[in-house]
Amino acid sequence: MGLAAVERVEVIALSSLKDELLSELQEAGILELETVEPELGLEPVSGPEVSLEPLLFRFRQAIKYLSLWKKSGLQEKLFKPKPTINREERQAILKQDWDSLLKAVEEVELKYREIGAELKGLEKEKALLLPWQPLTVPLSELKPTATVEVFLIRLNRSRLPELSSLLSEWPLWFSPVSQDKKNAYLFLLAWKPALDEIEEKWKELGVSFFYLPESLLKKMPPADKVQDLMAHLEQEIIAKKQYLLSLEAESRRLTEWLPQLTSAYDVLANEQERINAYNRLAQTEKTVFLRGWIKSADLEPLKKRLDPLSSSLEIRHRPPVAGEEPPVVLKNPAVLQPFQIITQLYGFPRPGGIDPTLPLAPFFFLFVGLCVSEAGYGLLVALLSLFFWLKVKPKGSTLLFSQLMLFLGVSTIILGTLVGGWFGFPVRQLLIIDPLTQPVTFLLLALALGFIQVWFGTLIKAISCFQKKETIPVGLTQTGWLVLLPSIVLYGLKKIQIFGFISLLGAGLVILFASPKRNPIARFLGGLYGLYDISKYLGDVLSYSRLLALGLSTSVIAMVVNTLCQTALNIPIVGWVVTPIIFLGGHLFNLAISFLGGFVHSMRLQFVEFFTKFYESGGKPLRPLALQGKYVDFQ
Amino acid sequence: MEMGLALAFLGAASAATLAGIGSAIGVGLAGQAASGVMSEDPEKFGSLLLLVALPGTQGIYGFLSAFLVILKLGVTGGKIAQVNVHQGWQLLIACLPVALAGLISAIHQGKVCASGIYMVAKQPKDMTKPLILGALVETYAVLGLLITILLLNGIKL
Repeated sequence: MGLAAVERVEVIALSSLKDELLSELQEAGILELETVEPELGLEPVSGPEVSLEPLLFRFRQAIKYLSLWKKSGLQEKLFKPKPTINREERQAILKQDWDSLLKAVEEVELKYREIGAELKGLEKEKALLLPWQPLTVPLSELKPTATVEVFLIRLNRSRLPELSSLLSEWPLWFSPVSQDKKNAYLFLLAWKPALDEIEEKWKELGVSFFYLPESLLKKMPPADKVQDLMAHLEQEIIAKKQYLLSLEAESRRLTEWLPQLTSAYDVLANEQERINAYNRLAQTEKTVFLRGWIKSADLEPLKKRLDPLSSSLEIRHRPPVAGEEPPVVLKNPAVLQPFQIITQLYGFPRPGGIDPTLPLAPFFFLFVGLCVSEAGYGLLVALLSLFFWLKVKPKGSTLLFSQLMLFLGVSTIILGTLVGGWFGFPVRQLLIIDPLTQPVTFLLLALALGFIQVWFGTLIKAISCFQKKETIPVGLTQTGWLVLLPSIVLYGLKKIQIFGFISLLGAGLVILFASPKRNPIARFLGGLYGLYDISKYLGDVLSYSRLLALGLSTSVIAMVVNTLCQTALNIPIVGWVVTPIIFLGGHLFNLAISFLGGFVHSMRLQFVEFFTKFYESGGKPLRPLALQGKYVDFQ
Repeated sequence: MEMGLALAFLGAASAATLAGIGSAIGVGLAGQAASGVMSEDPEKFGSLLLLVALPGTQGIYGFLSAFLVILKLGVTGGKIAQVNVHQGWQLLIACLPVALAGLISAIHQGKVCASGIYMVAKQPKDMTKPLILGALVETYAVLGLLITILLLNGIKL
């Protein structure tokens, strides 16, 4: 339990070995490289000149495009294990030329987007022409004469009477071509000399003019009518659509390469990581030098891996010295590792600090169970995570998370049976508290658990303070609280005088040591003020009442679902169909929100009420140079 | 309808309605933010869903408090209990903590979650921190629910 020992490692080798050295280190995945400081006066190392970034970019684009065409069900997404890649396959991928495959995908993608855009343009042109379809005169013949100007105009239908009224005053003539819901489309002739004044009027009416777009003009033989042009467009649209379909088929066909592309992407991305690592090394004329951090337990494997490379390779290691900030590695037995997730979410402990995983694990286990308190839901979650764990064989944090969910499922089964029920039906023989009829008892249980956790947190703080001479006064203050809190509660409950005296003793300790001041009066007053912290402890413990509220809400909603089912069952025939749907849907919904609530609130109790008593975060995790895949696992 | 029963119904209705309004606003705020983020990065749907759903709990608390009142009155069974005016007022007042704390806290939790969603957009790995911040706001709705349940439990019909 706690933190694993971390040591500083330095490796010196012949320059010629640097490629192999980095490959070995990356495969081992145990050493975090640190950039060698310029103060050492060593030369920087220049890695291979190539950068894979442009290639990786192309891979990302190709994978993204092909994923659009890959129809994968939810089952495949969630439950398909990642493929594994070994060393030989990795080498093969690195040697392979991916250009032609990427080009094929890129071409299809480009064409697909191009044709798609063209199709959109054609549809737009068609929509633009639609109102003018009834026009039987070829557009090329609509030319102004010496005295008459020709227009095609669009006007809001409601303004049409106003335009008609202009006819009597002005030298105008128009004929409607078509109408839609909002606008009228008109063919209009006007006498040129009066045009300026007429245009004034048009502006008021909100007239807009139609001109054939340049692109369409080009397509159009002079004798064509609008409907000919539209037919022509229609043909083009059909042809493009067919082409688009063939491109879609081609894209779908190309998705069979997706697994190769994703594996290659992972391999190349890791190769780029390795290339980046060259910048962290330093060199002299003949040797290369690297330094980093490693778990002490991994030193032997490191030596085993590097020694065969050369007899002239030197590995040195030492524990971190004062002033250095080594990375942090949590070290817990397998059963506790899933709970490390909670610790990591809050932040890693400082080097040399306390790992809160062990203290928080039993409480977190218990609290989620109490918050959900539905054994049926627990069973579902446990089975699902067990299935995921065994079937998909996840690795790393996903594995830990599925194990955590398994734990929480089990906890919910136990506590659900004791204080809740199975899908809304309590098993009376096994019930120790029925939260619906005895909420006060449940509340006291929740507060008692809270009191224990808060007290336990204070205890951890006190113990850690006594380990260093300068923090002993803080430790004594904590001891004061450790004595004061339980005794004052007992005194309040039982009114036995001895507990009253003990609590005064604790308060005395707090008054004496809470303030760091030397002046006795200031110290006494500061100590008195320190006693005010009791309100914080009170608030913290009361905060655990949420365990009751969340537990109750799950039970009540489960009950509501069952009541609805009963009501639905009374409906003839339809009831038989609807009832299972309500039952399943209702309980799944309740499962989802109660697990979300239970998880988040239990976590909050750890972070806000428990961690504040003793935990200091701020460490950075060890990030070794390693092979890490987004789509594949490396052997 | 008798006055007492009317007051009791008002209590149940206000618990479900006010807390529901709060949640609707809160989830709405978070949902808008999430849609904005997803327009850039559609793959975040899964991780944002939790943050959007979080301000929804107040509505459920209100709903379940209302349901407790309904059960107490025996409305679903068809045989409605006799409620005098005093008991009616008691039931109405008992519903207020969850209704009002739910209404206000859900709106503010929605704002916190919306900001959290913007945070996840930039720091995808810090998924849980905004969840915890949201849960800090929710505390007061949970406490309101608790008091409502305890009060309802204490009312004798």
